[in-house]
Amino acid sequence: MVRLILKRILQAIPMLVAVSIISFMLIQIAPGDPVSAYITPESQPADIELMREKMGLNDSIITQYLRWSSSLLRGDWGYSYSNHRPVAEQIVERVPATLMLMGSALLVSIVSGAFLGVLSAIKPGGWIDRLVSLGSNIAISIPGFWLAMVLLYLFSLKLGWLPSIGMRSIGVNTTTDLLKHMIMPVIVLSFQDTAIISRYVRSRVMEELKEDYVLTEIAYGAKKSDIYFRSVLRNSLLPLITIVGMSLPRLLSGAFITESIFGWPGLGQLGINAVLRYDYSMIMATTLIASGLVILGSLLADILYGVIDPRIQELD
Amino acid sequence: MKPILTVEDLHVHFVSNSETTYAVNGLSIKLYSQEILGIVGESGSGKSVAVKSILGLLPETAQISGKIALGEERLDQLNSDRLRQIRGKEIAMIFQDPMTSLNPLFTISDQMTRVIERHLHLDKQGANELAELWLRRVGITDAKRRLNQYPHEFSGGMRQRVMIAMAMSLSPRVLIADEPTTALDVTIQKQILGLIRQMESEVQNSVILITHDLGVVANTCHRMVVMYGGMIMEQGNVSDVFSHPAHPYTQGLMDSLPSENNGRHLVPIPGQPAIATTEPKLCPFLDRCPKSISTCFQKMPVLTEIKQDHLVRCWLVEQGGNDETI
Repeated sequence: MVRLILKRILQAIPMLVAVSIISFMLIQIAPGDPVSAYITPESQPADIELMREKMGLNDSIITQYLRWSSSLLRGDWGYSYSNHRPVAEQIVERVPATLMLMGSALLVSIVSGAFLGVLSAIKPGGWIDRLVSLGSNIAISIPGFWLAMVLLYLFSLKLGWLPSIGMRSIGVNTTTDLLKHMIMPVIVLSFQDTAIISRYVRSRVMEELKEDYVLTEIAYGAKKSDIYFRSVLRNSLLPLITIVGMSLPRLLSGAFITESIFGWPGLGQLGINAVLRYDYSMIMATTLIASGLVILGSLLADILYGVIDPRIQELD
Repeated sequence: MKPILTVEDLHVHFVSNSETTYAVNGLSIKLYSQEILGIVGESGSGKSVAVKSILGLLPETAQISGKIALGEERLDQLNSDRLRQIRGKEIAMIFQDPMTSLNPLFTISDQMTRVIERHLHLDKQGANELAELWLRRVGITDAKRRLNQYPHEFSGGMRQRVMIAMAMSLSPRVLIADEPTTALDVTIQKQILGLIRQMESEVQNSVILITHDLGVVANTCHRMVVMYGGMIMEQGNVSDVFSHPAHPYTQGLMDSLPSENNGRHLVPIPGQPAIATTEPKLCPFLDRCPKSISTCFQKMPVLTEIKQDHLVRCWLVEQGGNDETI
């Protein structure tokens, strides 16, 4: 098991290096120039050239990449051009909010998706099944930002039940307040995965019910609910780990959009603002951290697989 | 003597949109205490369906009629709560493929103690001790450690031992073994059958052993039932049936049995067992029978006693002319 984890971690390192190279190159290709953030209409061409030289923009791309990556490793992530604070400091501030949002959305979509999936597999074609199927069709078809707008209109503007923006009300520091702020972003972020997971679990459970061990359990007097929610669900969840692992990038990009709609002070909001302001070191840092989170997520998925399925540890 | 388990005029039909399959057609079986009853037949003869209907294990598409009783209690009329109490506790079952009949994601201890706690109302520790005891009794060494292993860490034969331990730990009145050795190789098969016999004599319960292998029946069972097309073709004490097989189907099965002694070649029964899609009106073996007579094409033969406790369903027997003595 330990070997399996170590192996996966070692595999993750070259992936991170590749991601850093790609995100660095993408910035090079992108239109615009870091210097443009500093120049005013009065700037002289000589001043601009001096600035370029000072920022190291005249060096070769490889030298620039090595300089950037080695300072990353030393913990120096550069300064944000827009607010002149260290990038690393701001990222550290923002990551927990994003993780909280993503984690809650993931939890909600797995739990409700698995529950709805099992419910509809108990009686395929029954009214629960048809209702869940209709619901997931709708959920898969509607875009997240649209749902976000509708929810905002309904629950914040019309009914006034939920706060429309931010993570906490100013001057309030209670969990209830935080949860209230979370409800809508989490719904928007989780509804599509809930639909996908429920469909997947439904078909997996129906397959799994044909297995011999299910007959054994019935023949030894197990309750239906035990069979569905204990034995069969656990067996069905295994491949779900892979599905969830693969849905992480989508979830993260969804978090970027959701965060900017609901003004959630996370990584996504930080990244999008950085893009709008040509804040280069911030863009690269958020890209890198986002990819890092995705890689970490699939690493965790692999490890989780080994924990749940004893046969994987055997293979190792 | 009163039977422990009685099945009377059991009919099982599977109804789908396109057709109805007549899997079991008027089966009656009595199982007495401390006996091993063998049910023999080819695939599709309805033997497995028949025993699964005893515990209500058939899918919802099955239409079941007839009387099934454990002692005095009618199993076919039970509510689901009582039926769950019977399953495992009174009638335990072991299945054909030990590789797949245990849940791969739970340890043996998990699966055994859950069943023991459910039926014997022991606490976790008591259940665990009982599970360990039974693992030892079915011949698993190092039982304490093995208990915490997963099914994939056991070989096929060992898994079938685990299944037997799980069944026996509840001291059921009836053990139904549905082709328990079909998926195992021959040496393991012998051990497992020996174990079932040993358990039966130790615990003094009754066993229904389903198999397609006459050799298994000869070595293990006291009485036997030969099934074909969802009906009993012949039934009697193992010694009687083996020495005087009266039904052409039983004779055919015997001829297709490998034997070292008589030096004859194997003689297969021509054709395949057909699955009935209409209610059988004639002997189901008719189209494969080498000895059919004109009466066979007119009406269904009835189960007739040719000797005490030896019953045969064949028109030839009615006419007294088919005792092929070996």
